This record gives sequence, structure tokens and C-alpha cells, in this order.
Amino acid sequence: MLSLLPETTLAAAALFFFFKNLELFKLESKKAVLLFGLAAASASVIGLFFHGEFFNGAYRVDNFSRFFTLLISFAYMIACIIFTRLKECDQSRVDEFFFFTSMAALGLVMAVGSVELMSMFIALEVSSYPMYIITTFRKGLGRQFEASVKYIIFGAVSTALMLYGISYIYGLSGSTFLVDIASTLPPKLGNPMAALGVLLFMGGLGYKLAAFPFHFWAPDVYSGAASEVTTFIAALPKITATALLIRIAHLFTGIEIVPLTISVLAVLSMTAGNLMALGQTGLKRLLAYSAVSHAGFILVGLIALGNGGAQAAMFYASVYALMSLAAFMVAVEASGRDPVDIPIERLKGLWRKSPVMAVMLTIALASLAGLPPTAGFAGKLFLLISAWKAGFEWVVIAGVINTFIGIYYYLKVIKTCLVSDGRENGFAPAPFYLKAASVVMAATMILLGIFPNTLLDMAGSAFRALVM
Amino acid sequence: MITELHHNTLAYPVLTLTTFLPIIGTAALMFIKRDESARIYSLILTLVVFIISLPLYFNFQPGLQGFQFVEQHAWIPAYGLSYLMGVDGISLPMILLTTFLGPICVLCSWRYISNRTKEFLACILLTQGIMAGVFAALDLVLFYIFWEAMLVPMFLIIAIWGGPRRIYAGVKFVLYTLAGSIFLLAAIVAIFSHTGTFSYPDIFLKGLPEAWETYLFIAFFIAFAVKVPMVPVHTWLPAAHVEAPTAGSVILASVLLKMGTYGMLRFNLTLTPAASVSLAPFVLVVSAAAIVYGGMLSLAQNDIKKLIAYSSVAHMGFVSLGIFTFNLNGLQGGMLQMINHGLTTGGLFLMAGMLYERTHSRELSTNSGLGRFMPGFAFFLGLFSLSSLAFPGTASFVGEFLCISGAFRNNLWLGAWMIPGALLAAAYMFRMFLRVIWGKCEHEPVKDIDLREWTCLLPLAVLVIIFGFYPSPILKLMNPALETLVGHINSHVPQASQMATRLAAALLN
Repeated sequence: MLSLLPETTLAAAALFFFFKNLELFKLESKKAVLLFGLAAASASVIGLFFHGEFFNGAYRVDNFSRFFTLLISFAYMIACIIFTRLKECDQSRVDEFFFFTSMAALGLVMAVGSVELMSMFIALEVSSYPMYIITTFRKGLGRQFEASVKYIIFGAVSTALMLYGISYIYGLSGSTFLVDIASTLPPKLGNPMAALGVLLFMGGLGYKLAAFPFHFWAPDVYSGAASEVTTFIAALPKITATALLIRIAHLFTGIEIVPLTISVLAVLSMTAGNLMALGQTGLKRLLAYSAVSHAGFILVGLIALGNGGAQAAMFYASVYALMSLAAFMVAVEASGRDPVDIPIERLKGLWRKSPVMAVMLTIALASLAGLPPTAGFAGKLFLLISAWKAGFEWVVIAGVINTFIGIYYYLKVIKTCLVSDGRENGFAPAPFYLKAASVVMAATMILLGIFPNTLLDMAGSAFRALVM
Repeated sequence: MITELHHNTLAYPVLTLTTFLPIIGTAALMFIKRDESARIYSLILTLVVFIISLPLYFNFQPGLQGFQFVEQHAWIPAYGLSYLMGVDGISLPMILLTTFLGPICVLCSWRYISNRTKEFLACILLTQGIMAGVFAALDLVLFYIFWEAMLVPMFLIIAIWGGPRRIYAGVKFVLYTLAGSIFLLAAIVAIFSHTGTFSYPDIFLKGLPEAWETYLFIAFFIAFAVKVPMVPVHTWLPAAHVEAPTAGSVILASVLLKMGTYGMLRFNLTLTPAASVSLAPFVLVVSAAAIVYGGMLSLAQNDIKKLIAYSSVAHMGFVSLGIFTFNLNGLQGGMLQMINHGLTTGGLFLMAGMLYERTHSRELSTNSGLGRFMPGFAFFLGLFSLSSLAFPGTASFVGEFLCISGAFRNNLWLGAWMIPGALLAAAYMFRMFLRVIWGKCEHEPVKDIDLREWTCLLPLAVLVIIFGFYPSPILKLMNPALETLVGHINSHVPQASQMATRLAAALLN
């Protein structure tokens, strides 16, 4: 049973908070969530060493799924550390909040392990519903309900797209098991239905990734939901979306129109996200649009799957999750007094109040901007190299131009948090474990940029497990 | 061959230490409580780095072709990245200049920076290490990483400790540099896709397709031209120089600008030689324009730092012009001018900072006539001004003379065009010198330079005089490398003329 340890741990966390809600346990919720976060991360490390197949072959635990489980669990752990600082979330619904986040994380992990389209779909829905609900968990009357409705409607539409896509794939191959699809599909790849099916399916995942043109929910949900909720939504689903995109794109590598369409969407996503981020004055909206642009970069990996693109996309997704969590850790610290979004101005004088956080935010933003020697640069470099190898030179050019556009708004935030002075913006002093976590995260962002080998090798072996 | 690698024979990895000791040393600053101890620590660290880098000079064998003190390790094998550091006669003087200026930058900020001192010293140490890395890196991605890693600490130096318009200047600096270097990144990715390696010597050996040369040249050139800076992308420089604190201006003027011309020497001339030759006329015209235009702008300034900043534009015009004449004299002149400009302009910025500490103004009118209170200051200002206008007996004379003679060899009109540039330098430098030292004085008495300031200026002054009379120690270092470079370029001249014909045909159609 050790091979299902990560899933079990997350399920246990969800159950614990469910019963905690009925006041069955005395343990303080914030301590418990920290504990479960650490447990999930350790379980995912142990889980790396065990493989297996479950539910009649619908669920497979191999290097590929375990790589992403590891990422999701670590992201969940960092999110749990941030959750201990609940500021905007409704305090009376703390247990529900933790229940739903554990549930969503479980769904995301299950989706990564599923090798059958319907179980993949159901796992994704298991992760989506809790996220729709927690979007409303915000103190006071802000925009959280509007955000949640937008999230649900866009979610419903993209779910429909995805199901429609699955129906085409099923119609062509006569099976929903990926193994069968892989064996029966190749002769039918020339059929336009195959391209339509896979693109529709990817559309559903593009929504999770907040890629153009499925990104419209992102700015409103990011800014409307409580910062802690946004922390979760901004990082974890993207990891799963990347995993499933790689899984699906890999099955359909023979169709030419697919990489072409993705490349166009990737460039549009980068450009649209960056251009819209330029004018933002709210931190969370800015990060939302920056997420759109990063979704574009992750998509670049998909057009060059065989040329190292898959590893690059996996590397970038992990790095992106880390950078995003780091940025939101500071956002959560800064939040709590605004009706909707956190104005960037709120970060003024952060260097005085909390130098550690200011430095970490700077490194996270430099990494998001793709400045060396951070992990964000390494990831972008790998993506661009694989895109050039695959013959998409114009995507490389668009990518570097977008890197340039991006620096402007990231620099604006760096300037505010590190240069501007503002004595009156009182940040509550962060507890020691949070400072320690930020030092570790900042160091990781630099170290992954200088020594990306281990993570790259892991991603490489994960991708090989998929190919086999 | 230019690509031979002579591994490091010293007892310690000299280039790695020169680069990473200051960077890692930054971490220790976190644990130092008092500002004064942080200053002393940084001073000692930069001095140690300078001493560590000295064997580079003494153990360098100019006769050997290729790179020396090479350190090579696998880094990211999946993408063909390696940790490859090495120096030749072109990069060695630049590294020594960097390490030499390190302690001076710390010393000159001793009293000037009293706010967030530790962070400031951290930024100075970081930039120092990164700059050494730029000159030592022989792997294109490693080079790019150092090149870009520079941006954040330098931005902070300008934006936190600068003058009133510091944020504008800092953002402008970053945007200009990045706008140039994105092309560099694209070019590096393109080169990798063709050669499968990022290692400079390997790329040189494998060669690049002729059809790409023009594009690659332009991509590299844009990145480097912004850093130099060449007209018309020079406008970030006066802003950054004026707003930056003294140490920031010194780093910018003395080392950072040279990264641009170094990049041209290292990458443009060797990797895309034919394109360099065929496109050289454009570069020469722009450089000649920079010399005169920079000089005229400088003549009109009332802000001392701005005056020196525009004079830098003109001086760097001499450097790029010397480089693109493609004869030994021009290249020697360009290289010497890089070093001399580093010493001279570094000194001038130090002195502008000293004036500012005393009068809290950089205006010529406020600072006029202060020479009567400050004889020591007057001596150094006189020396550096003379050197800046290339007075015989000072270091810049040799460099500028060689540049001009290289230009005359290349083209008579080009050489003739440089004469007014040299004259202008005399005009603007004497104008500043006369006003500051002998102008009408309405200011209350100020103190002459103290021991710390003497310590800052004296090493620069000594080198300015030594190199003025006896430049051969540097020339000896770089001559073999430059001779190889000239040979390499000359062998591509026929190819270049074909390329120019094609280019002209393409443009005319």
C-alpha cells in the first residue's frame, strides 16, 4: 500500500478536517494543517520509490505521476505553511477551508496518476469543486462571490469542452484507456476528429493553466478570493494541468496542427498576459496576468515534446509553482485590509519591516522575470532551446521579447518593496518558521537556477516513464 | 589557435575565487551588526580578492595562444552547458581592473553611504564578483548569466542610494540593457541549435553558417552597443551616472561600459568576422559621431557628473572606433583606452563625489573656485583632467594616439574626423578644471581631501602616470591575442566583401 501513500495522506488530511469540523478533535487547526503539509511532502518523497497499477489499470503510479505528485505535495506543504497566517479568510470556516484545500490537492494528485480519460476527468472535477467553494471564503463583502461565479461558469464551459473532446477521442479509438488509445489511434491521426478532440481536451486544461484564451477568470478570481485561496489556486492546479497536457500532447504527437495551434496560443498567452500586466496597480491582478504569460511559456514546452520540451515544461512548471508561492507568501503577509486587491503600494517599506521577505520577493520576481541566475531564467532558457530545436524560431523571438516586456512590471514591484520608503504600512512581524521558509525558498530559487541538474534528470526520467 | 585551453596551474582556482569570493562573501554581511565592521570587512574582502587576482598578471604567459588559467567542469550536460572560465590577453586586463577598483569603491563610500550601509556593500560586492565573471566566462550561457545578473544589484545601487531622480535612472538603465540583451539571448539559443554547444572555443572551431553571420552580428552588436553605450542608445548613461552614488558611477564608468566593448572584441570579431568587416563602416560612422557629439554635449553641461558622463560617451567612441579599424594599432588603442578610461574617469567620478560630499552640489557654479582651499584636490583633478583629454605623458595619450593612428591607417577621412573630437576633449575638460579650481569663489572654505580620499585617488593617479610613460606592461599582455585577432579578421576579408556586395544588393532591391 506504500505506493498510494501520498494519496492516503492527503485523504487522511481531508478526513481529519472533516471530523475536526464536527469538533471531534482538540488539536488546533493551524498546527494540524502544518503537520499534514509536512506529512504530505514526506509521503510524496517515500512514494517516489514505489510503483504500481490500480483500479483495473485506470490509475498508474510510475515515475511520471510520482514526479508530479512530489511537486503537488511540496506545493501543498508550502501552501499549508502560508495557511497558518490566515488573514483574509473567514476565521469561522477555517476547518472547512483546510478540508477543501486537502480535497482539492487530493484531486490534483489523482488526476496526475489517472491513465484513463474518465477517471482523469473525475479527479479534475474533485479538485475543481473545492476550489469553486473556497473562492467565496473571504471575510466581509468583497468581490468573492462574483469571482466564484466567474470561476464556476468558465470552469463549466471548459469542462464541457473537455468532455466533448473526450467523446471525439473515444469515438475514434473506442476506449478511454490511454494505453488502448496509444495503440489504436496512430493510423487515425490524419482524421480531423483526432485534432479536434485533442485540442478541445487541451482547452479544458488550458483553463486550469489560465492560458489564453481561457484566462478570463484569472484576474477576477485572483483578486476577488482571499489571498490564501489565491495562493492555492495560483500554484497547484497549474502543476496538474502541465502534467495532463504533456500526457495528452504526447499521445497526439503525430498531428501537425496541434503543435502549431499550441504555439500560436502560447505566444498569444505570453503577449496578452504581459501587456495586460503592464498597467496593473493591484498585486494580485498583476500576478494573475503574469500567470497568463507564464502559462504561455509552459505551453512552449508542449510544441517541442521530443526535443527536450517536456522536461523543460516540467522544470518550468515546478519552478513556476515555487515562484508563485513565494510571491503569494508575501502577498498574504501584506493582505487583510483591502476590500478587493492588494495595492502594490502596500509593499512600500517592506525592506524595513521584513528584510527577509523583501529579499525573497525580489528573488521571486527576478525569477518570474527570467533574470539569471534564478531558476526562472534556467527554465526559460531550456524552453527556448527546445522550441528552437523543434523549428519554432519565431516562438523563441516572441519569448525573448516578452521577457523584456515582463521586466518592466516586475521591476515596478521590486522597486516598491526594496526601494520605496513607507513607515506607516505596518506589517505584522513574521514568525520564525515563516522567515526560515522564505530563506529556504529564496535559496531554492537561486540554487535551482545554478544547479538544475537533479530536477532536470528527475523530469527526464519521468518523461521516459511516460514514453514507455 | 585561439581555442587552445591551458588549464590553471596555480595552487587555487584563481578565476573562480576572483568571481565567487565576493559573491559568497556577501552572505557574511548578514551576520555583521555594526556598519563600521561591515565596511572594514568589505574592504578586507575586496583587498583579498585583488591579491588573489594578482598572480593572473605575474603567471600569465603572453606567448601562449588561447586561454589560460582555464577551469572546466560539466555543469548541465543535458543542455550542453559547461562551467568554462579562462582568460586571454583581452580579458585579463579587464579582470585586473575590476579587482583593482573593488577596494576603491568600498573606500569612497565610507562616509558617503550612511543609510542601509550593509545592503549597499552587499550590492558592491555582488557587482564586483559578477563583473569579474563576465570577463572570465567562456561559456556563452555562463557569460549571459553574469551579464544579466548584473542588472539587479546595479539597479538597486542606483535606485536606493542615488540622487533625486534615481528611480527613473535605475529603471531606464535596466530597460535599456535588457532591451539589448534579449537579442543576445536569442542569438545564443540560435548558435546552440546549430553547434550543439555553448562553449566559446568549440563554437569557434565549428564555425557558424555564413548566412546567419549578419543576423548574429547584429544581435550581439545591439546588446553590446547599449552597454558601451554608442549613440543613439547612450541616453541611459547620463541619467544613470548623474543619479548613481559615487561608487556606482565608478563601477559604471570604469568597468560596466567596458563589458560592451569587451563583448564586441570577444564575440563579434571572432565569431562573426566576415559580418564584422562588412558592417564595420556603420560602426565606424556611429563611433565617430559619438566622439564629436559626446564632446559637444559635454561642453554644454553645468553638472559635473553629467559632463564626465558625456565625456565617457565620447571616449567610448574612441574605443569602438579603434576596435573596428581592424588593424593592430587601432585594437591596441581601443584596449588601452578601455583601461585608461577606467582609471581616468573612475578618478574623475571619485572627485565629483568628493566635491558633492563637501558642497552638496554637482553644479559647476556652486563648486567654482574651490581649488584655493584644496590644493591636494586640485593636483588630482588636474592630473585626471589632463589624462582625460589625452595630454602627452598621461595614460590616455597613448591609447588615443594609437586609436587615431589606427583610424588614419584605415581611412584618411576617418582619422581626420577624430581630431576635432580630441580638441573638444581639451575644451570641456579645461572648462571644468578652470571653473572648479580657479573660478570665482563664493563658497565658504572647505576641507582638503583627507587620508582616506588620498588612498582612493593615489593608486589611480600612479597608474595613470605609469601607463602614460610606460604602457608596455599591458601592451605586452595583450599584443599576441590582438595579433591573432587581426590575422583572423584579415583572413575573412574576401568573404566579407562578397557579403557586403550581397547585402548592398539586398538593400537596394
